[in-house]
Amino acid sequence: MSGAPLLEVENLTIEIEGRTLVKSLNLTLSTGQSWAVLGRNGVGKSRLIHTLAGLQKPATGTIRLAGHLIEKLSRRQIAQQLGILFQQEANAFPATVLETAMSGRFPHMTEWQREKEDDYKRVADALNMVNLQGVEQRRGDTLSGGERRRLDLGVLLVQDPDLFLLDEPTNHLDLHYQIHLLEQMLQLTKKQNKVLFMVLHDINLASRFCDHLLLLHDSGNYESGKLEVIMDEVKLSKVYGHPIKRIQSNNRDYWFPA
Amino acid sequence: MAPLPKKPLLVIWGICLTVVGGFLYAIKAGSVELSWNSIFQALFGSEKGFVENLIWKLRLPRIINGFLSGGSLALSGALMQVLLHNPLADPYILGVSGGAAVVTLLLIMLGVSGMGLSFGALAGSIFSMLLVFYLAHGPGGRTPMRMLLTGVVTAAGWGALISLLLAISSDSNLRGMVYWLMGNINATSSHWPVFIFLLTGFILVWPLSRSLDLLARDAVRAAGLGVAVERVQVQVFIAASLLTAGAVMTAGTIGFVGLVIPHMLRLAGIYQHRYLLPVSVVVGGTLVMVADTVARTAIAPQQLPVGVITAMVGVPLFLILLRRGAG
Repeated sequence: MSGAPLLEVENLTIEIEGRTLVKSLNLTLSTGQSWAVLGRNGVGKSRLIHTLAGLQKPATGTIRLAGHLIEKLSRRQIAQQLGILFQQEANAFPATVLETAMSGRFPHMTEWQREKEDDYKRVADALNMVNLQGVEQRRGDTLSGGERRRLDLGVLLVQDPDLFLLDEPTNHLDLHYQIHLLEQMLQLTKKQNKVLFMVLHDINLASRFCDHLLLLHDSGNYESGKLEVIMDEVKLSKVYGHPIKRIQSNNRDYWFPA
Repeated sequence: MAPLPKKPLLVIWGICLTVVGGFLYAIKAGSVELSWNSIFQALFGSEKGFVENLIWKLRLPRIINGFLSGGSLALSGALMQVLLHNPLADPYILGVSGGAAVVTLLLIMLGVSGMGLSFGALAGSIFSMLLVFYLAHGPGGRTPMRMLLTGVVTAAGWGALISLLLAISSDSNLRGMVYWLMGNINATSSHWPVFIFLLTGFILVWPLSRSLDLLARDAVRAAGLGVAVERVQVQVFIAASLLTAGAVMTAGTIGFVGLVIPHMLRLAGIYQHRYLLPVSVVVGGTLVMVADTVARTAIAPQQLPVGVITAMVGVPLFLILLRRGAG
């Protein structure tokens, strides 16, 4: 089911202030794959996302995006292929929902290019997908937390990268949107052969929407591979430092803290 | 980005009318009463007489200097706010004007006047700009927070030096020094330096409008969407500093314009920098042009500091806009 490798990580070590977060990580993300990253607070999940996007330098190791070393690519070249959903909310100067959504087209046009019909169509489609149609002229800072999160996701859809790095995409989202939006993202990934790489805190969302898993341990060690191989009670309990039990219902696994 | 909604379009038309009205007021008002007829003849005719001299040598240069200084300040303010990601930022926040003031006051004490003061001010602002730029570099690059703190502390240092110079200067110099500090446009200083800085600054940043839109949202997100953040920040810093330097060397420090004009325009719904930047220049320029006219005519022949007028006009206007909200 896996297609061509899109992001190749070799021997990646991430350190912050002398502490090793991720030790010699080897990882290949291939098209069509949907990854979940699980680990405790402070284990380096967000750092990993930033590092994979080339926003932070690793202590050692190389990252290749579609075969090119990431540090050799310009931010614009990276943004054409790789999109990030950040965990933190932006503390921004005002802009309308439409203007914010249109910022996703930035890597695909020059500074002087006018927005074309196609750009508007992409924005409209994305806003539809995150259910923000009809509020295009509202100021972004008048939206609720969940609406802002959906707008951030909308920007990412407008950007239309091949690799989605999502840092806790379900923050601020209600149950309906958690399931609905992740379903849409997964569909998009499968249909258009993209890669989804998500930091999640909900094991059940991970097991429902992902086929690959990266477990990050406090020690800096990691386990990665197909979800059905990696995900079990022992490993998850070890990752979270708390016993995790599995129950089955309707042919599906559900995980809960014992 | 998206087509402008109707309201900002109306705003922009309103602004154009205000500019023309402001200009006509500025050229007509003064201690010598002139008829419209004689003004137009002086502007477009070929005669050279008393009225022509008055218009071309006194009023017009002052109008131009006021407009260019105000435009530079408003543009610089808009840029500083994005660069430092702080709505309280203004053109003087990084100490550019403080450096200029210290050098100028020193020169006044030494008896220098005229163009010497202008170039002293320019040298002072560029020195201060380079100092802040150098000092603000640390681990993690020049983050907005480090820039802001470095600039504010440098500005405070200049402020102390200014107080020291005022304290030890003679009574005869004191009045001129205080006037310079409060902002003072005169017809004698050349408008070429401020014009060149305004043009250069504008050309440096206007093509980056779309990057600035993203930067105003959030620097990390901007990087994630493909903005070369560090390069843009350096370019914006240089442009904003040059703009401030040009305004300071021409008009001293005129408060309020750079802080509030960009916010007023944002409150009016103009968020995109491709519109915000040029409109800031025009509105800031018009405000200072009109304020300076009031300053020289209100209690003529006595002159008021122009900064007092910009604040007296602008503060209530801004507060009204703020209360009414963005609608």
